[in-house]
Amino acid sequence: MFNSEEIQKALMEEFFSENREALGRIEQGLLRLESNPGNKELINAVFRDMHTVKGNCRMMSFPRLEELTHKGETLLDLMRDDLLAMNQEIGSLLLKVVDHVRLTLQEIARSGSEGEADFSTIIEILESFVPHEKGKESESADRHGKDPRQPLLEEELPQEEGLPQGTDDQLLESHDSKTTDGQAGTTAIPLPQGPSPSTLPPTSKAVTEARSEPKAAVSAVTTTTTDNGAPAAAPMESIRLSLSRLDALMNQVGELGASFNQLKYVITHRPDHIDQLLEVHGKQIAWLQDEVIKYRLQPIGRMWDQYHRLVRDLSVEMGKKVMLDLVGEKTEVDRNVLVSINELLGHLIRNALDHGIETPQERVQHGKSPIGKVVLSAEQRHGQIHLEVKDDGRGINPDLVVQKALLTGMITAEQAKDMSEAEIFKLIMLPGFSTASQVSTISGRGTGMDVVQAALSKMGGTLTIASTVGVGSQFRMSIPQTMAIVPALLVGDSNETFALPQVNVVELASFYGSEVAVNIEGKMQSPMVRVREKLLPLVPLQRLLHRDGPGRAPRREVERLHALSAIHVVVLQGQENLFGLEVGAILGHSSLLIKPINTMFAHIPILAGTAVMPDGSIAFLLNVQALLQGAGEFS
Amino acid sequence: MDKRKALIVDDSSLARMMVRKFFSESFKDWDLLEAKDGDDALALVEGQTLHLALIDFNMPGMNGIDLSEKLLEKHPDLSIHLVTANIQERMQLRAESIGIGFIKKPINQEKIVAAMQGLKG
Repeated sequence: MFNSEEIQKALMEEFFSENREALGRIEQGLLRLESNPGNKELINAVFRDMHTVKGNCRMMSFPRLEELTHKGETLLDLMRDDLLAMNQEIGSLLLKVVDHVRLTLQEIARSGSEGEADFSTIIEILESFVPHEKGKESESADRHGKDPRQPLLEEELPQEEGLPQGTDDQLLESHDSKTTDGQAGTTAIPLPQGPSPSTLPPTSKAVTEARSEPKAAVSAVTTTTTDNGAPAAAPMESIRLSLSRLDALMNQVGELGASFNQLKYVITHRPDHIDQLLEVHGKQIAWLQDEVIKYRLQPIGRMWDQYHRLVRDLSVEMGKKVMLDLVGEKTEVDRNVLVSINELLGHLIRNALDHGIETPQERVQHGKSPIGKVVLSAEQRHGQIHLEVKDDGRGINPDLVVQKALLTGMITAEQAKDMSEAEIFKLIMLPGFSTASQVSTISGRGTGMDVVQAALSKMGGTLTIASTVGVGSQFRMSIPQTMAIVPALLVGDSNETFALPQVNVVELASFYGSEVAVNIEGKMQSPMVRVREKLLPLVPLQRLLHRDGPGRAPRREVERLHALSAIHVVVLQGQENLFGLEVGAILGHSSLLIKPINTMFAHIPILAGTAVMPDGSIAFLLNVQALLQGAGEFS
Repeated sequence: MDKRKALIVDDSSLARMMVRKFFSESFKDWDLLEAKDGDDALALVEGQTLHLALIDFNMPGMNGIDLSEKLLEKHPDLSIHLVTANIQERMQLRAESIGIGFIKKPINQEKIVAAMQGLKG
């Protein structure tokens, strides 16, 4: 056994020899980086060696060397994250750090202390490369007694996306002052360079350049204010736009203006060119529309960091071990969608931890790793965002689901016999269903999968559940990438197609032959339809569109309906009441990209938008509230 | 009684030496296994009964969390602590989610005692 003096001596020997080797590798690495500045592996290796030297200096209590190497490490860390580009200037600076450390180590070997060497100048230069407000100064922040956990998340978020930092606060402030003035929703578009140039020393040019790469050209900033004026967490009321995108927009608007002038000219001077110019004009407008839709798209991962916290808290609370993996964080979705799905995903992750993942003991008994896995993934395909929350927990037992559904009277024993597994899992999404034998405090706050399902269908999304007992469950959602895509019911009249937003459709009813006279009646001379014993106002679509010319008396409208051999009614939810829309034919469902209505038709209130059908024809999206008003005028 | 076993993983030999020093001074009833990285550690602990692991976060090859995940598969009851000076919040939350503790660098006797507190027996 060593005595303490011998141990101390051995430690110092190790301190010198390890540092000597590490400094040698740092030096070699830096020299190689000069000719190959993009070599990530090399940067990583140099970073780790610098980290080791720093750790050693801390361990043996040489605070000044620790500070110097820490500053060097910070620059290397920025390079690892692509927030700083390696160049000769930085290379020379870091080599100088190596020289300083070596000299000081010699001094320590000689005298046992760090000596009088002054690092303030080189530390100042090193700091000038670090973005002023932020940078990865977490460690020094720790040492100054700051809570290390609070600020980090904010710092990490923008960095991961290669976005400029430092403007959030400015943006927040400017927005806050506007919202308190009662001008909510103002859009702030700062320049993309991140920290305002005046706050940065001139040497940080490399930083700014490296960061202005628009990896994600648009990013949202949290700016809604709560009642007391403090920034609220969730919805995003302003976006950040890269200068290059704004320039492109500007150019396009300029060209639009030019072609408009041309159009004015040819209308009076060269009418034979009108069609050609209109086509150009149309294309320019379509480009602008697409571009603006793109601005609304945000990387979905912006919202996801919070789930690490959720999983951590729930794991600790439930005594489970859970690893959350995030896949496809860069997938872009409409910012409204982003906010809406936030809670849903949280709910599904909660469910996965609560009902899916077993305790470590249980998992080990079943031959699984004690660590449960929850994978949250996002992917974009054909304008749809596919989201999945997958766990490797105990899975859902379809027999138990059926039992529970029988018990609560959701299905009959007869129905249960013929149900497929997919149909059984659908039961989980019905209101009032919960497989947890006891209502848990974690996921069962009186809400269940029915709430998730309802919220999704409101967005035009769908949910499917797959599960294997003992292996795990998958909850797959698909939602439209933008809210401009509306799930719709297509109906026809004569040769034209109309679309009704699916969200307003309650049910469909068709009456044939003698049923027509029984279920259609006139009340106060207005047509009414009887659906499920209720008499609802009936609005004939044809009548609204003035197909037969205005002025046909309402009484004759009832006669016309009675004369038909078949009547198709879409029951719609108006602002307050249900009503029926009589249509020529019910064609089916479709998700439509809705474009604003052409100005030519803008004065017609029942038309809400247009969509191009697959055959190239145009369908009008009908404004359901306006339909009912039309019915009011009608009666 | 058999000695209890602790695993020390750190790519710095000085750091390992330091921990060994603390154990030899204050925790003489422990056997130490030392590894310089994750692969080394996994090979070393094969077939062993472990009670405590002190793992550096920042290492070449797999990081401390990846190694912990692998160690827990074979040693579900192992008490693991990441020894680290600074860590991103995301990484800290991930570690806590799988039941890993933290020891803030620089390591000393008191911190090792605190880490041993949760151990059975």
